[in-house]
Amino acid sequence: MKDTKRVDFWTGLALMAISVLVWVLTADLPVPKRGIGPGQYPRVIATIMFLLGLVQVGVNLKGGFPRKGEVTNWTHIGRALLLALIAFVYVRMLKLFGFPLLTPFLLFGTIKLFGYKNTKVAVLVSIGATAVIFLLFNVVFMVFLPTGKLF
Amino acid sequence: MGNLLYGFALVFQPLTFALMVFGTAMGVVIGALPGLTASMGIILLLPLVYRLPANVSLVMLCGLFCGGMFGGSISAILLKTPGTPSASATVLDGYPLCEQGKAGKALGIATVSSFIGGIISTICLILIAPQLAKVALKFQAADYFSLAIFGLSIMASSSGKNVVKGLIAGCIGLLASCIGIDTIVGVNRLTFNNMYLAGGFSLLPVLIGVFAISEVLTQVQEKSEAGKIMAQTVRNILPSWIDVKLILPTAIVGSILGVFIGIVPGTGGAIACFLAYNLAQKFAKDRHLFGKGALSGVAAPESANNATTGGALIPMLCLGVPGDVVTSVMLGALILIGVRPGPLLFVENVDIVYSIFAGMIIIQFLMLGFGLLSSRYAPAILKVPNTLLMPIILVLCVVGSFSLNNALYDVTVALAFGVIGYFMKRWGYPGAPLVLGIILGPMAEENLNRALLVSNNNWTILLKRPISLTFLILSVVSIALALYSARKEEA
Repeated sequence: MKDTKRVDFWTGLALMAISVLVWVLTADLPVPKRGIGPGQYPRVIATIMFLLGLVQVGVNLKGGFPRKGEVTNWTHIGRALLLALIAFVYVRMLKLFGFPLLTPFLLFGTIKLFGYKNTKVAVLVSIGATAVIFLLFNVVFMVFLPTGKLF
Repeated sequence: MGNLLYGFALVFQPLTFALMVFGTAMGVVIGALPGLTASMGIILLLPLVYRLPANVSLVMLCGLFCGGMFGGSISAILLKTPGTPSASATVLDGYPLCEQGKAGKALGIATVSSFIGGIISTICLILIAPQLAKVALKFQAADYFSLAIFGLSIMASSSGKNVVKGLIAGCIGLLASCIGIDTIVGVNRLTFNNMYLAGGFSLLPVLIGVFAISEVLTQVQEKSEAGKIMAQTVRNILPSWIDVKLILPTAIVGSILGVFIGIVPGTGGAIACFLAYNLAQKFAKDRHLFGKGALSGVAAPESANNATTGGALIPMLCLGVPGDVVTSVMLGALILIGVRPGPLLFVENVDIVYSIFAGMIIIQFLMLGFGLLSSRYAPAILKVPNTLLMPIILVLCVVGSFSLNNALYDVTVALAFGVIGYFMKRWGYPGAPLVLGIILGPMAEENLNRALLVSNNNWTILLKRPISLTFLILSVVSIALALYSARKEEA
């Protein structure tokens, strides 16, 4: 099992901070005479979360400040975040370029990021999958995917 | 009986039947592919689900659930890699059989055992669910609140060693469900005056993000290739009568065990398969062959994991509390199509309930057919590399979340929850309690409010109602037991 003591410690602190933030943000919400108000319910959850955060901090501080766990593989995290970033940029650009034009590029880039080597197959799959998904959703499911503003 | 016949009539409608066949086939394929799970398959089908009548889409999802549970055994036997966690124990004897050139026999036994497990669990579902629903009809607001807490605590406590992390994930889900316009007074809550957040988080993008996109992000970490299938012709898949007679007692015991494991919320096929395997190791006729290619070693886990399907549907349909991760996704799908699971489902939506019952019976036969056909197609399916599949799944996730409201905001939410889900997985926080928190959050708040209104803000109403008190005690016990066993394991 991965040693995540230090991460758990910081997560515990972050949870406690979020809980306090929830208390502050719900301070001005109306309090009804009967029943639970809109602020009270999140406050109950925030209190439990604060306590759980405290447990995380306490448990991981036992025996001193937690030592660093196994070396973080930044290449792994970097690849995952790069894919997330590509997807975010893709979504932002969808309105402008449209699904049929942009998706083959997303697919091709992602296939390569996953490490698939055969470029010819990658191109074919990128174009073919885009066409199938576009037709399936536009014609069968009647979900009209963005076609872009450029053309 | 009349209702069940009505269910059969509905299930044999051409569209329903066609989609049930499609769901089961897709489930088998998805289950067979390592890295893809039944929950991911259901998520990918969600855009289709809420365009169909509720009973039709639910029968299709049940097909995918059962097919996915069986499909995991195909790669477990042929690749030594379980397609789903529920097929983990099948590897132990399935792959040795494959090494001996008996892959066809192993696949045949897995198919027949899955069929037996599925049929027994469906019978239990039909017999138990309506009775439990009758009891649940007596529930009041306080009981529903405590039930929601029980559902969350049981899901959190089944998070292995990370009980606290499971509880934290559940709390984050509950808190996320608070974001938006409050349903009681109608004020903006935790929205930071953002008009998008005022609507809260729709369930579909959250499901897609936490269960599907996070998986794609996890898999992109390491470049992986398709598994290598041992060079052999898969044939003679139809098991002989002697083989069936040998495994029958094991399959029946495994099925009964699987049903009960499935009923307990928060458990699932992965636990059932190992328990059944261990049990079979003690009494099966061919127990001396366990680990070397025993047919009962394939039959026990396969019957047990498929038997959890019907079992897991019981608490989901009767109480609105899912039995495992897949049923928590199915619960989300039900809510998306406007059906609130719970005892009232058995009164107000008889067509849906009995379509599921009848569908589950037919699905077992379809699964049997697809299982026996798998010898011909499985090797080809397993050659499709994840490096090609995952990017397509990412695009399907984008399209799926867009299709909810034709809004790119939902896609952004899905991607954001995908990143959150990725880091949660990386740091050992389970995703299921988070999603369950979002699903059960409104139910908990609404019923707590109602309970306090009728009791004049007397919080002890939660302890005065016997059903409510029972659920609260069970919640505490489940967490205490989980903490105790985690501590014991550490020691």
